[in-house]
Amino acid sequence: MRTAFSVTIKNLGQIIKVKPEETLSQALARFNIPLRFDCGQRGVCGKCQVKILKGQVNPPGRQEKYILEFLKVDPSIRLACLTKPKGDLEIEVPSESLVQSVKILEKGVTTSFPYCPSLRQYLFTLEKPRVSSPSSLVERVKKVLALPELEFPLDILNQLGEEARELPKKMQLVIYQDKEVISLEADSSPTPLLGLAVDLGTTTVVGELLDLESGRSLAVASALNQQIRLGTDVITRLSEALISEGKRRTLQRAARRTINALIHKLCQKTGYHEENILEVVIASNTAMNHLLLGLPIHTLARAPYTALFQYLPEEKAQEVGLRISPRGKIFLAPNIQSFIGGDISAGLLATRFFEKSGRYLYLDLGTNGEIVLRNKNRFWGTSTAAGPAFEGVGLSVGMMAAPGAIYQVSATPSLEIKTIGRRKARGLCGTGLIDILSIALQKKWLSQNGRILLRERQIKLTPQVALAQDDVRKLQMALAAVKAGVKIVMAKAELDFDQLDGLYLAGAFGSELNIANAMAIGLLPAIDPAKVYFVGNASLAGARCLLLNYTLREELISQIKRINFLSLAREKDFQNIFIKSLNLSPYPEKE
Amino acid sequence: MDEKQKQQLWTKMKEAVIKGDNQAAVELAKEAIQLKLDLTETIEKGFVPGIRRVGQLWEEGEYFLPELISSAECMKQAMAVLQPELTKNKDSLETKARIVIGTVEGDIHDIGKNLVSSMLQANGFEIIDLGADVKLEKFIATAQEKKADFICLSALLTTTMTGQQRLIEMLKEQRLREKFKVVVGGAPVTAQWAESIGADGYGENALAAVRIIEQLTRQRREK
Ligand code: B12
Repeated sequence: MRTAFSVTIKNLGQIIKVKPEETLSQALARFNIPLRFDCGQRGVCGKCQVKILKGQVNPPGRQEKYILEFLKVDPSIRLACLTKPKGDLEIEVPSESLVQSVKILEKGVTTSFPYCPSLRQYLFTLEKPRVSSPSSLVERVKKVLALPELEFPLDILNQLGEEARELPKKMQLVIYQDKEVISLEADSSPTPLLGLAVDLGTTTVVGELLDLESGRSLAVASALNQQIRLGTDVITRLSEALISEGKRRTLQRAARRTINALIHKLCQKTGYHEENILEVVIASNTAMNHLLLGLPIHTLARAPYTALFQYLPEEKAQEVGLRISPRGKIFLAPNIQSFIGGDISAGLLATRFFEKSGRYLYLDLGTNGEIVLRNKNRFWGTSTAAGPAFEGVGLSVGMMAAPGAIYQVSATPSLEIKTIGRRKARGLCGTGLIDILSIALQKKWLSQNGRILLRERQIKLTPQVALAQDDVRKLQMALAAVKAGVKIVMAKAELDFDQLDGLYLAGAFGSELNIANAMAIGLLPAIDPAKVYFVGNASLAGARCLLLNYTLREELISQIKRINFLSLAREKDFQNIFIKSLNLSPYPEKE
Repeated sequence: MDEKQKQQLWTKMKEAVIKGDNQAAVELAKEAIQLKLDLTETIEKGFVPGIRRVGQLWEEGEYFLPELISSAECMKQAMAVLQPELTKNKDSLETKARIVIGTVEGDIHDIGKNLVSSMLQANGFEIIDLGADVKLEKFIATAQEKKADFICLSALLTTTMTGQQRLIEMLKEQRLREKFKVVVGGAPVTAQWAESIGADGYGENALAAVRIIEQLTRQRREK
């Protein structure tokens, strides 16, 4: 007998030595080849597939045969954890069998996480009880799966009992976080395991359907939050909810309906069934998650804006009224404090804000501007009430980023505009507003204190679209609220702007935001533009992380406790800083 | 000092307020005291036209908050120099009315309220500013104690606006409604809201606040 066989991994160009008593999976692990063992090499998940190209191995046993047949794979495929070489081999390790790391952000920083979803499917054969050991069926399943703590809900137990009429039987079990059986089937065909990541924004809601077995994104869809009819900002919605329990329920239904409509849309797009979705992770601000759960918001609606909860364990999606699998779960990204909610914690997770040391600013510019600052090992967070001006709301020429919105203005030297969908210009959205303010300053159509100097007292972009004096004033206030918030947080951390290692910009502005213009009007601090990273919809990205790796949930919950909450309402100097910040000029101001 | 020199001094005072030049305004006020000028006249013809012009510039869109605030501050500083002299001479400037002002409970937005306070003060009203996040009971107690003519309530949140309504109800319950004029304001407050809760007046901005309070003061006198 030889002491070792040599196994050539064709596609990786590597040769490894395998001991005769060793399985292929043990050997691959020894050589740090990151093979997937979702079940921990217990031969029940079917994820560690390898292709035997040449050479002799042990024949598959009953369990392995069942899995390979069930998954309908090529005859040359074997499960590495159940396969031992009998001589030298040539094999291939398909990329699906390697541990995936999930790419998180398309833009800005590319981060990735190891992959570890809540849901796993295990395949095994439940044997006929032997006279010698009449231990219960549940105990036997636990033993096969090596999950001694596994919980069986009563209805699942009932199913198990029914299936046990005739044994042996080939079973498929979907297990949640290795602790609870979510579904049990026998002799069926493979069913997809899907998850949904949601960014539940005050204005826009985005959903992404993901395949939990591969981590692949299947489709993305977005819609307006149906609560919008009941007010455009969170305070108005909370005050609606305060009126009566009926109103509160109306708001809850509106949020629920928005998400259910997205689920429907995503399923139609991809041809899957709602029942295939087993988990939903939602990133949302504190008001949105309280309203979605239909919880009383008496303390959240009034100063000092105390939330009912910071984080919750996974809840049953059915209780929340989401139309997915009846046993599906829902997890909410944890709220940080007061109005700084799960949308921000999720965004911080996606940018790995807590991981790398250094000095970073995270800015989420929406109706509420959220600011988180890291100065090495200390963190500060605050929220500033910018209002929706930069989302185009409340201005005579403003509009949301929809067809016909001017999203880019350039001066070459005459004004040139670009509209979404190349439609006729109907108004300006956020990025377009920033461009025109900056250009108008350069051309001296506008003074730094916001006065329109042109005789018409308006800045015409097209015959129909003109920025009025009052619009400029509203934008100045929104700008000043953000600027003042950033300045105060930086001062608390005793940090100069040139000490920053980076600024992450998340939220309403897309990558069309012209950084130079944003700095010229003072929306962003004037730092090295190479240090500004657009992270786009970081909240959705964070929800995706939490969906694809559930171990990050606890980690995030403990990390956010490091953030010191700063209430701008208590800052005596706010007024002075705010008033100074109204000027349309770059900051920090040069001495 | 002849009439022409006086005119020149008044023009300088007016300009100092328009520019928000604190130092110049304070110097000019001191100069008026040294020259033993009639201080009431100095205020009426020098500083007041300045703040009135600032109001116009605001309405025309020329001035924005920073300018308005610095002019109001400038006016306040000049008055601080003149006030002790006026009191000494016992010919204290007649205050048009006494006003209790503040932001209602639960609300800390005070920038707008401060501005309204300053402009009212600059226009010769006596102001008792209770600050922000003020308990409704405190407005009433202070107004009674100080024999105020007005209670002015600022609210910036849809959730705290209801405090304005509540205060009026409280006045009615305590049979005090006729004793004080109630004027309301703040970004979410509208004329309709003011009317629906039975307030006596509403001001869209600091200038409108001065205008409505002056008008109500006149009405009160005429009665
Ligand atoms: C600056 C600001 C803040 C500062 C306040 C600092 C301070 N010391 O005042 C900070 C950052 C702390 C803050 C906090 C919050 N804010 Co804020 N804030 C603003 C902002 C950007 C500007 C307000 C302001 O100062 N304007 C300038 C002044 C001069 O204008 P003004 O207040 O309207 O006053 C004028 C008139 O209204 C009138 N007036 C005012 N008072 C009175 C009184 C009388 C008697 C009269 C006659 C006239 C009058 O005259 C004034 C001068 O012309 C507004 C947005 C906006 N566009 O208004 C949001 C805004 C008011 N805030 C809002 C919110 C939601 C909050 C928070 C709940 C947010 C949070 N994330 O925590 C907290 C609440 C804190 C609390 N307990 O009150 C919302 C309210 C929405 C709603 N539906 O109610 C707004 C509208 C922004 C938005 N659209 O989302 N905020």
